[in-house]
Amino acid sequence: MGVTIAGKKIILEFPREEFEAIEPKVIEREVLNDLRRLKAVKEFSLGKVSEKELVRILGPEKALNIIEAKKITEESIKRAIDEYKASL
Amino acid sequence: MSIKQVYDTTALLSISLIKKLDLIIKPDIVAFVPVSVLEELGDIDKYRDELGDAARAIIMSGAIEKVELKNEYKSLAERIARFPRIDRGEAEALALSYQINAKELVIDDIDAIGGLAGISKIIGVEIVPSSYIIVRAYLKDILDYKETKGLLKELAVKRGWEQSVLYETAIVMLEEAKKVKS
Repeated sequence: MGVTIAGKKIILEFPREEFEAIEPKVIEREVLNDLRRLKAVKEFSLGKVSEKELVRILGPEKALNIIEAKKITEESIKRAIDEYKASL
Repeated sequence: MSIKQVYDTTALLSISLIKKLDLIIKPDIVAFVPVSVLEELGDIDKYRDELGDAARAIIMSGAIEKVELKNEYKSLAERIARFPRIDRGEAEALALSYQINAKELVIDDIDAIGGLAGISKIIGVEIVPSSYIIVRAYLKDILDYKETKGLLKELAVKRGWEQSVLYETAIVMLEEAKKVKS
């Protein structure tokens, strides 16, 4: 199951076999969990959700990996900006 | 001076999904992959969907150079592959970075980034996401601001909730890059 935001729409990708086999309550729970995670990661990227809050929402293991991913993205682009400045 | 980069399957797929493989065949970048990454792409190529098309485009592009791991680095890759949630492709990509003394290892897999962060620092390889390649292209005037932002937004949508952090963070950093350029 996967939830993505495409423009003004939220798209749910869900294999038909799973849809037919899984209980409606489980589907509801999984969809809501995916939406919460998606929103939390987006807001964390924008600095609106703290690392501590992210750990609560995603669990420690996934949150640590997301935090590290944000850090390496910021650091690598910062390095590229510094190289650009040095080249002026 | 050219930069040696090693690519993992996830990062190559991201760049191919937005049809920007030309970004990794610029004169200042030399892109390498271990054999297992090409094998993974070959497996994905069998699917008749968007990812399959992206994998096929990479294989056909000639943008990447395949390198065999020497025995001692094969052994290192096998050990790295025992780390939690690190697959063979990611382990071989890091071992190859060490073998050829690459400056950067380009990975878009969130679990692999977290799992390899410590060891990559020790061996002196910088882990970077594909979003860095895109923003770097903006700083080098290969892409304009609007196109860069559009590509990052496209990837944030196409690559799922976990990986979206790589592109959403890059969009924030793009604003900083824009200020520096103006």
